[in-house]
Amino acid sequence: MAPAAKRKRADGRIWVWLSGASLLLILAMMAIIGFLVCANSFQVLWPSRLDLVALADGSVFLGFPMNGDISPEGLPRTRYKVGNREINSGADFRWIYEQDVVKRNHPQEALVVNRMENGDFYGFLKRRTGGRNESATESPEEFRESLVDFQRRWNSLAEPPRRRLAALGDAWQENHLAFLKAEYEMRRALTPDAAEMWKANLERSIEREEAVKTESERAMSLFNAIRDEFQAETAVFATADGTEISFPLSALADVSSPNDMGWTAKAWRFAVNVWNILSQYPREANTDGGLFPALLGTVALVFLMAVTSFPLGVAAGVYLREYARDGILSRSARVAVNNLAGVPSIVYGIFGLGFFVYGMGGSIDRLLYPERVAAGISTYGGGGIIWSSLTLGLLTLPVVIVATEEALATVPSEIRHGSLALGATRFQTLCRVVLPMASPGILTGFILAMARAAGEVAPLMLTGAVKSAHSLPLDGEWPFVHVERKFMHLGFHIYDMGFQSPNVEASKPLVYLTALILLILVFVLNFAAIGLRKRMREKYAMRGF
Amino acid sequence: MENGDGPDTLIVEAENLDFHYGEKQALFGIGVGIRRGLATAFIGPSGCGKSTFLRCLNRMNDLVDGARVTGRLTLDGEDVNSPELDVIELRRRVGMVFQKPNPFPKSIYENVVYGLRIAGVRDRERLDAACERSLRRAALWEEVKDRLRESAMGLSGGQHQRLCIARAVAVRPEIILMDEPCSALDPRSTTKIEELITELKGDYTIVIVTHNMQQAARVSDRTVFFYEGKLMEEGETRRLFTSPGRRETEDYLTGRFG
Amino acid sequence: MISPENKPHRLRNALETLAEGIITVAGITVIAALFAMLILIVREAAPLFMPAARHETGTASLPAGIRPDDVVALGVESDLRNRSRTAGIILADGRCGFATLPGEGGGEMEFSKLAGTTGGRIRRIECRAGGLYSVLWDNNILALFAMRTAFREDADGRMRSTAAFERIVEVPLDPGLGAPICAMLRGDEKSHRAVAAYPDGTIVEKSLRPGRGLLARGQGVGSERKARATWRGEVVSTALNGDGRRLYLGTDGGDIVSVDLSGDADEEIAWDTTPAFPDARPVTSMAFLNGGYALAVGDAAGEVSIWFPRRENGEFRLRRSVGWDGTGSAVRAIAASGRDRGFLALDSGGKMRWLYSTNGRDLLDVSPDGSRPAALAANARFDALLTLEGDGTLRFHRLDGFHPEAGWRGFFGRLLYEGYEEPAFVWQSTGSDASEPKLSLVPLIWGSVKAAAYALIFATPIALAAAVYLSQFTAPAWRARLKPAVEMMAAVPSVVIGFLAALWLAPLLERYAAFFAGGHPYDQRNSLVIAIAMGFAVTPTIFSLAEDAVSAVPPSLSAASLALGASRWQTVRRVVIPSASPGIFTAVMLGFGRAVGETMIVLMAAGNTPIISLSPFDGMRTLSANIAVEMPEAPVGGTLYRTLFLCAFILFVLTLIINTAAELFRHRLRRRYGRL
Repeated sequence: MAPAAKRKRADGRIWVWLSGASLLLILAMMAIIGFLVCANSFQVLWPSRLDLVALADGSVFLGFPMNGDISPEGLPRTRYKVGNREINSGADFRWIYEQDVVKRNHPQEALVVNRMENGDFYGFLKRRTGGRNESATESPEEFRESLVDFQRRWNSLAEPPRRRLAALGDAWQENHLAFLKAEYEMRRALTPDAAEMWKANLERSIEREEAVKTESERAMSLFNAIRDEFQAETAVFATADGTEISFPLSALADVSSPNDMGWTAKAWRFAVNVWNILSQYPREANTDGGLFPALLGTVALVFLMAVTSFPLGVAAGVYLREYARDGILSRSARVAVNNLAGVPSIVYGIFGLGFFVYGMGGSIDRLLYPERVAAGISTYGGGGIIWSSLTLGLLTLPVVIVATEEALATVPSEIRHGSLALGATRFQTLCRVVLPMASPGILTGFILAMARAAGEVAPLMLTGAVKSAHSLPLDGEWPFVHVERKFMHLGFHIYDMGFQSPNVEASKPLVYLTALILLILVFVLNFAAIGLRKRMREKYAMRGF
Repeated sequence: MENGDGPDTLIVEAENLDFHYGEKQALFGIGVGIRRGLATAFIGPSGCGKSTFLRCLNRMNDLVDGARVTGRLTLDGEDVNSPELDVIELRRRVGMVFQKPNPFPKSIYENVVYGLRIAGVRDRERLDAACERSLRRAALWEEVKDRLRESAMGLSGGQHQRLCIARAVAVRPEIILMDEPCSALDPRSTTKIEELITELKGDYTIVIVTHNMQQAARVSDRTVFFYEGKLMEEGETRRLFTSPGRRETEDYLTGRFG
Repeated sequence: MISPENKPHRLRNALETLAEGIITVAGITVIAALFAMLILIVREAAPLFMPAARHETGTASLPAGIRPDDVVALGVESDLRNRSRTAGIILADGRCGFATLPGEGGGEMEFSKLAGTTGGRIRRIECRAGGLYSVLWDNNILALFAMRTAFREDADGRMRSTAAFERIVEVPLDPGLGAPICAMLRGDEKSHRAVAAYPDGTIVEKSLRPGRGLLARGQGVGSERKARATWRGEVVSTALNGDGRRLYLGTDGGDIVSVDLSGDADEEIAWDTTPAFPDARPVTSMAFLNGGYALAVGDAAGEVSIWFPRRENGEFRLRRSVGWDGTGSAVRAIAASGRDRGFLALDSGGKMRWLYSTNGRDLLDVSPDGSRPAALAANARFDALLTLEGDGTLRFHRLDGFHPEAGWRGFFGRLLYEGYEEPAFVWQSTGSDASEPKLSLVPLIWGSVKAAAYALIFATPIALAAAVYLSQFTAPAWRARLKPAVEMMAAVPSVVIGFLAALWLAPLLERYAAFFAGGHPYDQRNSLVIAIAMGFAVTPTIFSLAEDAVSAVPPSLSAASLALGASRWQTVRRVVIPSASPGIFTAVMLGFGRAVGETMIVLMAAGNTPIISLSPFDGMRTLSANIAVEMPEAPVGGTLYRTLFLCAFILFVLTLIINTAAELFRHRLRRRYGRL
C-alpha cells in the first residue's frame, strides 16, 4: 500500500472509532437504565438473606444489606435496611462501617414480618398469646399457618361489618347529596306543589340520615367488639438484641423466614410477591403495599383514550386525504396537524384543565348539580378520568391523523382506480380496499401513540390523577365505569412517590418497581406495534412482476 | 348479446367530442362509432389522446381535477355525460383493464367476485358460479382452481392481468376497455392475453389501446388512429394497415414517428 | 349485464352522501378542535393585557345643610357583584350617615352620632384601607371604628344592605400634651397600639399587649413609651402601617421622618430622617401599601413615588423605587388597595390616578369626566370607589382592573421588588399576603432555553456520530437490528428518566462534585444532570432523523468519492454529511423543540428554583415545569392562573417557531445542496 494512502486512511480512523463509541454509549445508556430498574425491582421482590450482624461495640441487629460504597473518609461501608421503625426512631436504613463488624451470620429462625403499618419488622418469634390455642413453642412455619388461620377468622367475622360500614358510608354520602338537592330545589320551586314535594324529600333525607347514623353506630360498636376480641391475640417477638415487643396479630400482614428457604421456596415467594404487588392496594402513604389501583387506572385511562382518539383521528385522516379538496384550507390543516404533534404535553394539560375540567366540567356541574356547586362540592368540575383521557386523546390525535394520512398515501392509485372502474362508490372503495390496505400503518401509528400516551404524566397532573383515590374508576357498582372519578396512575405514582413522599428512602424500591411495570407496559405496546406492522406488511405486500 | 344486434350496430358513438384538462385541450372534435361485438384498437403515438378518449367512455376522467367534456358521447344511445346518468351504473356496464395489473390484496376469489359484491350480490352460489365462469373465460381457472382462497399477490404478472380480466368479466359488462394491457408483461403472457381477447370478442365488445401496431393488427377487427388529439382515420383493420387513407397514418405505420 | 340487488340508485347515493358527511364532520371537528386549543389558551391569557376601567354607577347628594367641608371621612363598600353599594360619611361633629344605591326611593340621608361616642367634635381622623377609622375626639379620647356592611338578597331578588360604624376600641390620650398632629389606633380590645405625634416632636405610644406567661392569666399588659424627635418645618402628612410598628411623618421641607415602634415595651423608640426631595418639596400625602412595607408618597408637584425601608450600614434609609411624573397640583389623598400593591392618588386639581407599585404601571386615569373630586374612598377589594365633589355630590364608581401585576414590565422588566437590594428578574408567585407577587417570566424562559441548550450540547454530538456510524460504517444486517433498538429509546417515558436522574444520577454526580466543580457552589439537582437526562430523552429524535437523512444520500455519490481515492471517513465527512445536512439540521432543530417542551424530567431533576445563571452546577425552572408546579394551586381566573396560560402560549409559540424554522431551513438547504 502506498504510504500516502496509508496516511489518508489513518487520519480518519479515530473519528470512525469515536462515532462507533458514540453508538456504543447510547446502547450502554439504555442498558444501564434497564439494568438499574430491573436490578432494583428484583431486589424488592426476591427474598434475600437476612443478616444478623454483631458490631464491635457489642450491639447486634438484623438487617438486609442493600448496597456498599466508600464513605467520604475513605472507609468501606454497607447500607443496611433494618426496619423496626419504632425502635430505630423512624430510620429504616443504617450505614455500617465494615471495620466495626465483628461477625455476620444467618440464623434460620430470623423472621421478616410485613406489617399493615410502620413497614417491616425483623426479629425472632417468641410466643403467641391470647386467643384459643396459645403457643410458646411454635416454629415459624406453624406460626405462619396460625397467622393465616387468624386472618381467615378475622376476615370472615370482621368483613361483614366492615363492608356494612363502607356501604353505610356510601349511603350517607348519597343521602347528603340528595339532601343538598332537595334543599336547593325547594328554595327554587316555582309552584307550591313542587315546593311541597321537595320539602317532603328533604324531610325524608333527614330521617334517612338519622337512620344511617344510628345503624353506623351499631355496626361500629359491633365491629369494635369483634376487633377488641381479636386484638387480644398477639404475638411476642424479640429483636436481635433480645428486646421483646408484642404486636396484635391483626397488625401483621405476612411472615416469612428468608434464611430458611430453598430455591423453590424462594421462587414461590418471588411469585407471591409479584402477585401481591399487582393486586394489593397501597399502604403507608404509598410507601408500602401494592400497585393495583395505579395499574388499573393506567389501563383504564389508555383504554378510554383509545376509544376517543382512534375513531376521530382516523376519520380526520381519511377526510384530509380522501375527501378534502386540495386547497389552502386542507394544506393549512395539514401544517397545523403536523405542528401540533410537536407541542409540549403540558400545553395540552393546561388546555385540558381550562377547557375540560373547569369549562365543560364546571358547566355540567352547574347544569346538573347546582346544589352541589353551592355547597362547594365538585363532581365533574374538579378533575376526573374522563377529562384526563380526553386530554390525552387530544394529545395523540395529531399522531394518529398523520399516521392515517401516510398509510392512506401508500395505497397506490391504480388500486383505487381499479375499484372505481368496477362500479364501486368512493365509500365502498374506501371501506373494502383502501382502508384494509392502510390498516397496518394506521394501527401501528395508533399503538405507538398509545404507548407514548401511557408514559405521559404532565397533562394528568392537572386533570385528574391523584396520589390516593378512595375509589376506583372501574368497579362492581353500576354504571361500572365512573368517568368523573379521580384515579391513580403508574407514572404519576412514580412522580409522587419519588418527590412528594414523606419518606423517599422507604418508597424508593417501590418506585423502581413501578417504573419497571410502566416500562414493561410501554415496551409491550411498542413490540406489538412493530410485530403487527411486520405481519400485515407481509399480508398486503405487492409482490410479483 | 341481445338479439337483433350484430357487428353493424354501434354500441358507442362519439360526435364532436372535445376534452379539456383545465386549460389544455386533449381531444378535438372526435367523431367515431364503436361497433358492437367487435374488437376495436386505438393506435397512435404517445400523448395522442387515445387513452384519454378511452377513459371518457367510462368516465374515469372524472377523477382528474379540471376535466371537462363537451360534445356528445353515447352508450347504447344514452348520453354518457348526462347529469342524470348514474356513473356507478355506467362503470358496471363498461369494464376496464389497466396497463399495470392491479389486483386487490385479497384472495383470488374475492378479487373476482368484488364487482358482484359491491353490486349487492350476496348469494353464495351465484358468486361461486360467477367466479368459476369468469376464471374460465379468462383462461385462468385450471391454474388457480385449487387455491382460490389464497392471496392474489402470489400470482405472476401475466396471471395478475388475467385475473383482472376475470374480475372485469364477472359483472358481465357490455364493453371491455383495455388500456395497453400487455405493455407490462412478458411475451408469453402477452400472447395469452391476445388469445383471450380473440376469444372474448363476440360476446363482449372490446376496445384496446395499444402502442404495438402488430398487436393491433393481430387482435382487432377495426382500428382507429389518433394523432395529436384528433381522430385521423378509422376503418377495418386489414384495410387500414395495408392501404391507409391518410399520409399521417402511413407515416405512423411505417415507423416514421411515434 | 348484472342488475344490482335491492338498492335503487338514489338510496345508494344518499347513503354515500351520508357517509361522506359523517367523515367530513368528524374530520373538520377534529381539526377545528386542534385550532380551538390555541384559541382557548390565548383567550385565557388575554385578560392579563386588558386595561383597567372605571364606570360610574350612581350618584347621591349630601343633604342640604351639610357642606362638603363638614365631611371628614368617607367609606364605601359594595357586594361581590357590585349590584348594590353603600357610602358612609363621617362629619366633623361626630355624626355619621349612609347612602345606599339603588336606594329605597326618596328619603334623604339621616345622620346620627357615631356609636358609643364620648366626645363632641372630631379633632383628627385617619382612614385606612378596609374601612378602619381612627377618630380623636376633642376630649382626647382616641377611638377605632370600622365600617361594617352586610348585603343580603331578599326574596324578590333585590339586594338590601345594612351598614354601621362599629366602635372597636377606645384609648384615652394624655391631654397635657396638647393637640397632636396625628393620632392613630391599631388593634382591638385585647391588644392594641395607639400612636400620636405632637408638634413639639413628642411621639407617644400607648399599647396593650396580651399577657405572656402563667401570671398574666389572659390579662393584657399596658405600657407607654415616649420619644422626642426633631424635624425642620411642619409635618403635613403622616402614615402608620397596619400593625402600628412604623410611623412616617412627612414635612413641608421634603423630609420624611421614620419612627420605629417595633421594639418591646422597655426598648427605646428609634427615629431617623430621610430627605426625600432635594428641592424640598412638601410631602403632601403618604400611605402604606398593602403588606405594610412600601410607602406611597405624594408631593406638592403632584409627583407620586414609592419608597422602601432599607437598613444600610446599620443606618435606616428610605430608598425610592419607582415614581410617576407630577401633575402640577399637590397630591391630596392616597387610598391603598387592600388586595394588591395598587393605589389611587388624588391631586388638588381633581385628577385621580390608579397606579401600581411593583411594576410601576399607570393603570388608569380615573378622573371622572367633568367633575373634580375633593375626597375619595375605596373598598379593600378595590372594585368600588366613592368621590365627593365640591358641590356635595357623592359619586359611586366601579373599578375593573383585575390583573395589575401583569403587563409588559411586570413580565419582562427588571424590577426592584420589596425587600430586594437591586432590581432583578424574579419569579415568586405566592407567599403570604405580605409579600408581593413577582411574576417575571425572564427566569423561566432562561431556564427553558438553558435546559434545552445543555441537553443539545450533550445529545447532538453523540446522536449525530452514532447516526453516521450506523448508516455508513455498519453492515446492513446489524443496521436493521440496531436502528429499531435505538429508536426504542424514544419509548422510555420521561417520568422514568426523570426519576432515575433525580434519585440515582444526581447523588452519583454529587459524590464527584468536588472533583469537577472545584470550589464552585454545587446543587445536587443541576444543569449537568439535566444535560445528561434530557439529552438521553432527545437523542432518539435526533438520531432517527439524522440517520434517515444520511442514509438517503445516494450511494452513487459515495462511490464517486471513493473512486477518486478518498478514504471512507473523508468521503463521509466531505460528501455524505454535507449532502445530508438539511436533514441533519432539521433533526437537531426538532430535538431542540422537543427539549424545550419537556416537563417531567425538569420537574424532577432540576431543583425547580427560578434563577438566572450560566453555571452548570445550578438548577433551573422551566416554563413547562412552572406550569405543572403552580397550576394546581392557582385560583381560577386569578392573575397567576392567567399568567400560566401565558406561559403555555409562549411554549406553544416557541415550539411553533422552532418547527417552522427547521422546515424552512431545510427547504433552503435543500435547494442549495440539491437533494433530500
